This record gives sequence, C-alpha cells and structure tokens, in this order.
Amino acid sequence: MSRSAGSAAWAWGALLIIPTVLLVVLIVPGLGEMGEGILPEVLAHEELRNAPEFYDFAVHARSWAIVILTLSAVVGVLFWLALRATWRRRLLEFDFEQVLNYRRLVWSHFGYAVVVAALIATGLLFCSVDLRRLSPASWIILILAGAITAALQYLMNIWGTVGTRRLFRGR
Amino acid sequence: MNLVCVGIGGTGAACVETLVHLAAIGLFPDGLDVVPAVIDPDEAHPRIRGMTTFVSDYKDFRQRGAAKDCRDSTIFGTPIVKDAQFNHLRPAQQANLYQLLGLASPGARPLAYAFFSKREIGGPGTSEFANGFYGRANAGVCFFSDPQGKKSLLDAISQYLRTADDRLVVFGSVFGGTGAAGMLHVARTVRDNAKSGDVKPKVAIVMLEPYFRPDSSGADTTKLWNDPSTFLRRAGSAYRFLADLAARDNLPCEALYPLGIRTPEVFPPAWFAPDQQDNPHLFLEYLASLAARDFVLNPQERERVPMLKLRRVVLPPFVSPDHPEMTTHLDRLREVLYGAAVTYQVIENFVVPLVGRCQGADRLPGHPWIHDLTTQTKLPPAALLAHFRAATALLRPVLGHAGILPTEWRFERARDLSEEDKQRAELMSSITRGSFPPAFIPFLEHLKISEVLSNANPNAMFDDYDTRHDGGLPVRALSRWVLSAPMSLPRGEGAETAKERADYQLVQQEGPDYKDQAGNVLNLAQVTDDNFNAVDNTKRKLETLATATWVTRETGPGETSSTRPLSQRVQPPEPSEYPTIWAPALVYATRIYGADSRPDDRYIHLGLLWAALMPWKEHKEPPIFALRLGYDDRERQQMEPREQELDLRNSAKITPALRDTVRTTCPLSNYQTAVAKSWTVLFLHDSPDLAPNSSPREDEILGYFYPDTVVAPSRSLSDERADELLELGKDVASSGFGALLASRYQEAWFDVLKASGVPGADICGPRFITFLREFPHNPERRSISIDQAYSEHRIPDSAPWIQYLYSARFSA
Repeated sequence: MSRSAGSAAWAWGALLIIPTVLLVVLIVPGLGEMGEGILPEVLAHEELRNAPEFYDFAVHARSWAIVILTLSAVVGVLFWLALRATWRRRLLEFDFEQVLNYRRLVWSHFGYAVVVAALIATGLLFCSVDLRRLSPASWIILILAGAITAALQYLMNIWGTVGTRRLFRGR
Repeated sequence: MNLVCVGIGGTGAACVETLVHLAAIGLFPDGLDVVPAVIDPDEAHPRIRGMTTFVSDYKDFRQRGAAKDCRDSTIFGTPIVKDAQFNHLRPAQQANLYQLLGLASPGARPLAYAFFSKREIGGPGTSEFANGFYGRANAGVCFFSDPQGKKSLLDAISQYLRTADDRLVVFGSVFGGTGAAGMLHVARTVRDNAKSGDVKPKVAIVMLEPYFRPDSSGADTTKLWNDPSTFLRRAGSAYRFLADLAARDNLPCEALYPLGIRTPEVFPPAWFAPDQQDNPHLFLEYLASLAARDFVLNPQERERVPMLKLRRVVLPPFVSPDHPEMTTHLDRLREVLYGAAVTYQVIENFVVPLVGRCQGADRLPGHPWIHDLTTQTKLPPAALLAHFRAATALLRPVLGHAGILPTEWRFERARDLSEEDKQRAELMSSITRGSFPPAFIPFLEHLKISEVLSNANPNAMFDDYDTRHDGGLPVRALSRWVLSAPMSLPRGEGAETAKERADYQLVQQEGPDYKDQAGNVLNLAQVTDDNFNAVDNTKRKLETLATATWVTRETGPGETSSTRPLSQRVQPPEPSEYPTIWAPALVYATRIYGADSRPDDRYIHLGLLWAALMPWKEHKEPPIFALRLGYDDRERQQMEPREQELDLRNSAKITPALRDTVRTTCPLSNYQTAVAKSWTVLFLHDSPDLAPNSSPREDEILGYFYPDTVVAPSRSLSDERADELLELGKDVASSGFGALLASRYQEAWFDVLKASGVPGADICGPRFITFLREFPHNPERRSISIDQAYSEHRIPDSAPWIQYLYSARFSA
C-alpha cells in the first residue's frame, strides 16, 4: 500500500513553515510604518511609538518576541510529538476502546498546547522590563500571539506530515 | 513444486491435518503446493473430517479473496489442493478379508487360511476391518494391495507427481495397523508405478514410534483390537522389517524420518473406544511436518539405501545465544505459531471491533488503514469485516489443535455439552499443551500482544498490503507486519549445554536402561542437536533399532528395568506386527529358534518336518500341493504369446488382491529363485487322497515351504492337527530324528541356501542345523533310518534347497 502522496506531499509539507513565516513577518525589521517591524509597532502605544526611545524598545521587543514565539512554536511541535507518542502507545495496547476517538485526542492536545504557550508567553512577558511597561491590551496581544503560534505550529504539523494527516482524516 | 503428503491411518491423518494447518500459516517455503491425502478405511475419523473440512474452508477463503494464485510463505499463501478424489482414500472397498481375498472361491482358501486365522478372515457378511485394521498390519497390506484401491491412488497421485521437483512424504505410525501396513506399501506402489524413463518422485517416510498410550483397561477384547501393551513391540518389529529391507537395498524411499519420545502420553480408558479415536494433537505431529519441510529443503539424491535422519528432543533455550541469527526448522515452526497466534489476537481484539465501528462510514479517524483497505480491496467495511472473521475462523482450528487457544474453542459448535465432555476437552487441551516443550508456544489466555509487539509500528499494520501479491486477503499483510515486528518471545529457561545430553527424538535412548537383545548399550550417537541430521550408516542404525529390546520402562517396586532378566522383558512378536502377508513365517522363525521358544512349538515343527520328508499317513510321495500364482498383466505383456497362455491357464484362480499381496509383500525379493518359479507357493498338506488338479481343503493344509524354517505352519492349523503334530514330533525326536536330519544336512545346508539366493542364509542356515541338534535322543528307542525318507518330489522349478531336502545331493 503506497503511502506517498507525490507532489501533494510537498504542498502539505509547506504548511510546516507557515508559523515561521508569520514570525518573520511580525518581527523582521524594515516592515511597518516606522521600519522597526510590525509587532513592536502593534505593541507600543501611540506615545511610545512617537518617542525617541521607541527604537530601543523595538530592538528589545523583537528579541523578546523571537524568544516567546519560537518557544510557542516549540510547544506546538512538542505537543504534536506527544500526540503521536500517545496515540502510538494507545495503539500498542491493542484495546480498541482506547483508540476510538483520535480527533478528541488531537483537540485535547491542541488545547494543552495553547494554554502552555500562553503561560510561557505570560511568564516571559513579565520577565521583560520593556514589555512590562506596556498596556494590558499589549500584553494580551503578545500572549495571544504566542498561543496562536503554538496552535498554528501544532495544527500545521498535524496537517503537514503524512502520518498525522492520515490519522486525522482517517484515510 | 508439489509436496504430496499422504497420511496412512489415524496417526497419519493427524500428521496430515497438522501439516495442512502449518502450511496454511506459512511453514513451507515459497513456490510450493501442498497436496494432502489420507488413506484410511474410517471415513468418519475426526482427524480426516477435520483435515478435509479445513482444506475446503481454506480453498473457499482463498477463492473469495481472489488469492488462489498466491504461492508464498506468508500466512494463507501456500496453496493446499482440495481434491475430493484424493484428499481421502480408502485402501479398498471391502470390509473384511473374506470378500477382499475372494474366499467364496475354494481355490483361494488354502492360501488365505495359511496366512490368516479364521477370526481375522471373518465371513461373507462380517465387517472386521470396516474402520481400520486394529494393529493387524499383515491384514492391512491385503487391503492396500487391492487393485481398485491401488488404481484409485495411482490415478489420483500421478497427476501431482510429474516433475523431478515434486515430493511425496508418507506419514504413519509403526505401532498401529493401518499406518504400519500402508507406509511402505504406498511408497513402493508409487515408486514402482513410474515407468522406465519417467521421472521417479522423491519419497520420504515419516514414521512415528509409540508416542501415546491409551489405557486399555476397559477395552472390549472380544472384538479385534490393537492392544497398547504391544505398541513398543510392534515398533521393534517394524524396525526389524525395515532393517531387513535395507539390508537387501529394498527400501522404497530416499529418506526415513523416525520420530518418537521416551515417555509416551497416556490417554484415559474412555478414549480407547473402538472407532472413537478423537485424540488430541501432540508435538510429535508438528515435528512430522518439520520432517516434510526438511525433505523439501534438503532433498536426498537417489541412493540404494535411504538417508536416515535423526534428531534430539527440543529443549529450551530455543535460540542459541551464540547464534541468534540462525533460522532452523524449529525456529520457523515457533515463529509461524507465534505469528498466527498474535495475528489472531490482533484481529479478534482490535481489527474486527474497529472495522465493526466503521459500519455505514468509510473511514475512522486514527485508523486510515480501514479506508485504505476498503479502497484497495473495493470491499465495503462489512465485507472487510467478513474477511477478517473468516480468517479467524480458519485460524481457530490451527491454534486450537496446537493448544494455543484455551479449551473453550472445542465447545463452540457443541450444544448441551455434558460435564464429561467438558472434562474430556479440557484434558485434551492440557495434554496437547503438555506435549510441547515449555514456553515453546503461547497460551492465548496469557498472551499479551502489547508486550510481544511493544516495539512494533502500529501505524504500519497494513502498509505492506499489495493486491498484486495478496489478492483480496489483507490479513496476509497484517501477518507479515506481525512477523516483521521485533517480537520479544520467551527464550525458554534452560542451559545451553544440556542440549548435548538431551534425549534422542526416539523411544530408544542410550544408557543402561536401553540395551539391545544381547545386553549391549545402544549406539545411537552422532546426532547432537534438534535439527534433522543424516546419520552415517542407515543399515547399521536400523539394525541397532531393530535389535533393541523395545520393552516398557515401567518397573515394579524396588526394581529397575535393567535388573530384570532380559528374557522376561522381550516378548515374542506376533504376525500382526509385520506389514506382510508372510508375517507368520517371519514370526515363526523367532518362535522356534529364539532363546525363549516353547518346547511344544519345537516339537510341532519337528513333526512338520517329518510330515514333509518321511512317509506319514500312507502318503506315497511328499504331500506337497503347488499353487501357482503366476504373473501380473504387466509381466505377461513381456512374455511370448505361448508363455502368456500357459501362465494364464496354469495360474490359480484367485483375486488380484490376494495374488498381489503375496507377491508384493514377500520379504524374499527373489522368491522365484529362493522358493519356486512362477510365484508358486508350496503347501504341505495331509489330504489322504488328493486328486490331480484339485486342491486340499483349507483345514488340510499343515504349512508352507519357507527357507528360514523349511516349513512354516498354517495359521489355521486346528488344535487337533497341532496336537497330532506335537505327538509326532515328540515321538520322532526321541528316536533321533532331529540328529538324523542334522547329520544329513549339516554339510551343505548353508551353501545350498546361499545357492538358492536366500537372504540371510548365513543366519538361518546354521540356526536350522542347531535347532535339529538340540532335540534329545532317547538311546533306548529304535533309531530311524534315513532310507525311509522320500527321495524325490514332483515340484517343478523349486529352489535348490527344496531339491536338496529330498535328494541330499548338492554340488556347488
């Protein structure tokens, strides 16, 4: 039974880099109205954006965002790996009642990934003096960005790799 | 390549049933077709019904799965030929010797009654042998010689034995009736059937020594029965017969695989009811299948003497730590049994419930193989479910009979089972399990597939499925996945060095308890492991086994078998133990020449000699009746027309079955030089006034001429005639008749036997002279003069030793 999807496999595999692309788009310098990246501009309130220290803030914010979003992506990957290992372990029990609902397992891991990424983002956010100074709305944006990155990475891994995509689709 | 497996009798059927089970789960190599057949009169035998039902179900399963062309060693990959004409054959249609031997015709009676007792022959409406031969190998060979039965066998078998690659393996027991009678006979029939220039098929014989022993305490001894206490002796007789054939280069096979066990399994009395032998399968039957596999992979080239292959018993550990990569027959057996058990468990516990959940949908998240299989096989989930259920239904008898499934599988189709039946079933399973080496097979109730397959990739269960190779049988892919997974099987507990000291896979062993009849330790060495090893000298090893004592090892309190006198342990053989109609003559030599011979038998023999050589009861010439059997159709075709006509006119009017049995089972391969030409049997009779061209009545036959003892008595000799001969023998012995004959023949007897081409003349010649000398002579009695003896006879074309008996003249 052939498991190769040919060129389609490449297309599905491309999903894996979407979170990275988003990360790059959000933080790469040169983008945004002020050329310091999109995320720093979104996080900074207007007063800061117009102040001279914005440029220092942008440098720090980019660094912290890279750390937070990368860790979130790693969380997404780790939960995807955990999903695979859990399913494999359950299958190897050869108890059919334990393996009737694969998608529930997928979504439960999805939830855990989001929560863990959000917690990590929150923790890191408060470690940073520059980010602590931001408004609560900015905090939420940053935490959401981490959670979304983890979720995206998790889902892209599921859909982008043959094994878990087939398991999820059931075909 | 065809592997034709013919099981003879109940044990043969059990071996063939086991073999088809193992073939189904992939024991045999790629490219092989298995052609099973059982020859047994008992059509309702559970092993035969089991085998034919399984073969039928197996064929249906493969056909439904469009996999009838699959021919590989994956599960369900070996084609097993279903052929109603061949899968079960009867040796003959008749149910008694009376009908088979045509004894309604008076001309055949002297011959038949000389070789069989009245009880064995039966009458026109009796059915002594309707369901088996009950340990009477000598009667069995008559049924196997039936021309109709032989023709059916040859017609059926010849279509499967066409090329030099094809193999015939014959299975049977040497301690029963049917197998003991038929194994050599079938091998010889097939071998002789090949015309010159034809490719002769390679033949192996797998012979099982006593490996179970029913408790016969409740047996009905009023009917014909096979007494278990004679099993060992029968095995000894079989080896004697084989050793003699081997000595004459007359064994019709390329390889011999004897299999036995030191201590047989004991079955309870209730299992010994006639025609009810639903015995459990035992490990030795699985080894018989391995013997067939060995013969497929390591065929012997045709030699004058077949290769004898022996092995040691199987002991754990099953994989040598020094050679974990080594794949032996035994490894493969264990692998396929484990593989089938795990596959079964995975299907039952996992695959079937999951596919069952998929009813109405074509996919189940987490289990893409279901969708893949429905797509590839073009079967809806319901049909897929049916496929897996059919696969487990096929595996159930395989695993059940091997003792892998718990006892309950035996109850499945039974209703209103009594407690007694349940106990019997439990005991059957328990005996099967106990017959395997510890930890060799899994017990399903203890088998944890999660542990066995802990390192497998569960997402790849059906990845290997390919309709080009598997047809519509995805279960084959599952089995491959199971077998390719790094299964962690128990190695079994045991010391590696113990294997060298293990028992032989035989009844006979080496050691103080196992000596030959001369009191020497048996020399069976050479074989060091549990593979089939060819021994160096087949003739010598068969002779070793033939001269073993073949007695039970059970001893009384305070007694060891070695402390008992040998004479108490060795029982004289019975005619029923030899697969030849001439068995009474073979046994008779032991009876009168043996150390334990009864004086009365010796005197009767002396009386017979007197009746043959000296005037008695007013006979004017030796009372010899010559019954010419003549030649068969094939031999006649090679004669001149006039000779053909003569042969037809002068030959006795007897059934072909009787003629063929006498001829084909004769231990004297050169009967026409060793006794008389034209296959003439010479009877000694005491008919007072036998008219020319008439034959004596069967009760007037005293015996027949046979070189080992000169004359052998008729099996149907009446008690009155025996008493008469006894008195005669005692009388003439005291007159010095024995010594007189000894002095007359001692000089040339050995030479004349040798000149007659009598096999074993160097043994039977001196024994006869010694026998004659041992009779005490009463000096007070008047001595007999040899001048009274007949000096001539009118037996045309008789052997030199018969002429010498009367003329006492011999020139080398």
